[in-house]
Amino acid sequence: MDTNVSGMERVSARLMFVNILFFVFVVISIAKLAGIQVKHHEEYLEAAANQQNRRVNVEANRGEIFDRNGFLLAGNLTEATYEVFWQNVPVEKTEEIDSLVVKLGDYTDLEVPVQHGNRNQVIAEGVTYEYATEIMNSISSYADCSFVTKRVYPMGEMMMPVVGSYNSHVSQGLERQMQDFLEGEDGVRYFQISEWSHLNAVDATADNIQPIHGRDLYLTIDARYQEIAMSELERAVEESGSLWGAIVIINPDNGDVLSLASYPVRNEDGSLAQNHCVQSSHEPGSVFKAITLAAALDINAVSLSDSFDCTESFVEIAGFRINESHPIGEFLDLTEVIAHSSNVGTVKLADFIPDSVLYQYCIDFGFGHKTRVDFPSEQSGLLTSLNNWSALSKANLAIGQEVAATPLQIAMAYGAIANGGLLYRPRLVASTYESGLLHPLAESPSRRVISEGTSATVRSILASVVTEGTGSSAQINGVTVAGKTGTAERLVEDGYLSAFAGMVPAENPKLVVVVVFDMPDYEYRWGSVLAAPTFQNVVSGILSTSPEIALGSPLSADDLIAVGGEN
Amino acid sequence: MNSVVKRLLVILGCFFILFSIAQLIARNIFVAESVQLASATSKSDSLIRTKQGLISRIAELESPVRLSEIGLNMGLEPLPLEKFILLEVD
Repeated sequence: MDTNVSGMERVSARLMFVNILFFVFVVISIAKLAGIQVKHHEEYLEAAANQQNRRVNVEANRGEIFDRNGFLLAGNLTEATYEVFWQNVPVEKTEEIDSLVVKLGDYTDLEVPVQHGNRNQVIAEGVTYEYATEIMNSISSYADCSFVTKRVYPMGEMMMPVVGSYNSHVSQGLERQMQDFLEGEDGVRYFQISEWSHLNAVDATADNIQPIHGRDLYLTIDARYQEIAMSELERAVEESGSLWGAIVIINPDNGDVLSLASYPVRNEDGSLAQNHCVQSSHEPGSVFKAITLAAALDINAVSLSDSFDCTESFVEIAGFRINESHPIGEFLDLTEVIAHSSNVGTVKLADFIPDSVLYQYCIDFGFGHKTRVDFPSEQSGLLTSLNNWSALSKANLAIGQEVAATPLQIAMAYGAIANGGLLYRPRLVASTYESGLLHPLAESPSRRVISEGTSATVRSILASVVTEGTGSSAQINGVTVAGKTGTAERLVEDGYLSAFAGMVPAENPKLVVVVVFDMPDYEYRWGSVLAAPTFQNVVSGILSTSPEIALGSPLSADDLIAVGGEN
Repeated sequence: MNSVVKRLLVILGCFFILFSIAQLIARNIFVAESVQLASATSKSDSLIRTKQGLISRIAELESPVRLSEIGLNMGLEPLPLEKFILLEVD
């Protein structure tokens, strides 16, 4: 019995001990849990979040740029770069890198077997995104693959004068001007990371922000015309030894800019050169005589039958002589004065126009002010204020010598002569594309600068410049051309500037083309020798591409037929 | 205990169990959809990049510079304007 009692007591004591142990365990567990859940709650929560959640920056796509026909001028391209951190690669695993190099083929310059190094080594750059994703699952874990999206210009150098360029450091041309349209807004996406990457999940409860992609731009530029203009410019600049050349092509009916070609494209240091169509101004020379003529006709100061004494080869103004470039030695009517580009005749023509009226016409035609085209660093040109005119100013202005203008300003002024008297603001961006919708931008505003009658008369006189005057080298078979040559002496540096401004077809112009060369070799200084033939080549090339222009009205291709045969 | 109260407790218990199961199902669907969303997002990004690359390649192939070079190499110069005639204009 005693034995049984003592046995019960021992069991009871052991049970008590177990109970106490259990109680202590429970207390410690509760304390530990309380420590985790209450005291260190925030700390553990943050650690878990850091381990599970990822914040990823979602880069917005920069808007693309297209020409009027939908050719891509500036786009985005993602490429892969492969890098090896040799310090992390065991020597026996070098074969994995060899295998990657074999897969990369032409994308890498390395040859197998690859030498094990001890630094980071880029083994391939510029690998297309498509190919990189194709080999993604079979590359070595010791190689790092990173993707970079860069700006690309599929049309090459010929579009650079207009589109410019863009990278993270610098932007030029339209890329700079339209930055607000093209640039998007990056977004943020939160992920919950799993040990198995295919089970990663978007954290839909987090503040995810969708990226806002940049807007695409559709330009008024025609890449085909730009290509024709650029190749002609390159040839002519190289041949004539000119410092630079520029060609502007516009549609006079709405002010749309079809080409802004400028050559050379790059400076000697490789940076993009300025676009001389917009960013440099020069003395227009005799090209400006069309403005003097338009002003005189518009105020009815002269008529076509008036004649001007050009028997002397100079005219004296305030003790200064203005000479003829080509002595004529006879009386000329109004048409002949312009056709033969007589300085004496034009100065005498300007005598019929009051100073303030001529000045106002220059202002109305857009000289001395920026055209406000969507292009950076536009020059306003130079037009001496009426208050600062000397006794010689009007005579100089009449022949385009005391004035400076950009090729674009000249093109817009000739556009007004071409379209019946309306001066348009040049338009370079036709529409933007955003969220699947095309948003056409407003058509350029216009203002009347001369009457329709004056415009028609000036055009007919400019047509005679080409048929029987100094612009004969601009003639084109199958279409009437109206235009004016110009040879200006440069005010700043010794040298000449050769120019031609013209339109086709003369009766109902659909294209205005201005060609300018700066500082050509002496034998190329005349507009009729260099600029007019370049005009002829450019317009001939364009008419081969768009023969409907020669008819003066836009027609569908069905209205035209190409007659085959030998060229 | 009143039988009505008992039934009420059973119903409440069942409701609690069903609610918990529904919660679990909803949570699972949510997670599965989140995983799908991550996968679709990644695929969409990838397709956009591929599309951009292809558009760029098409533009290179259609470039007027390239086409005119190819044309000249093949002896296909554009016809001069005088080779065109107007058949009919309204």
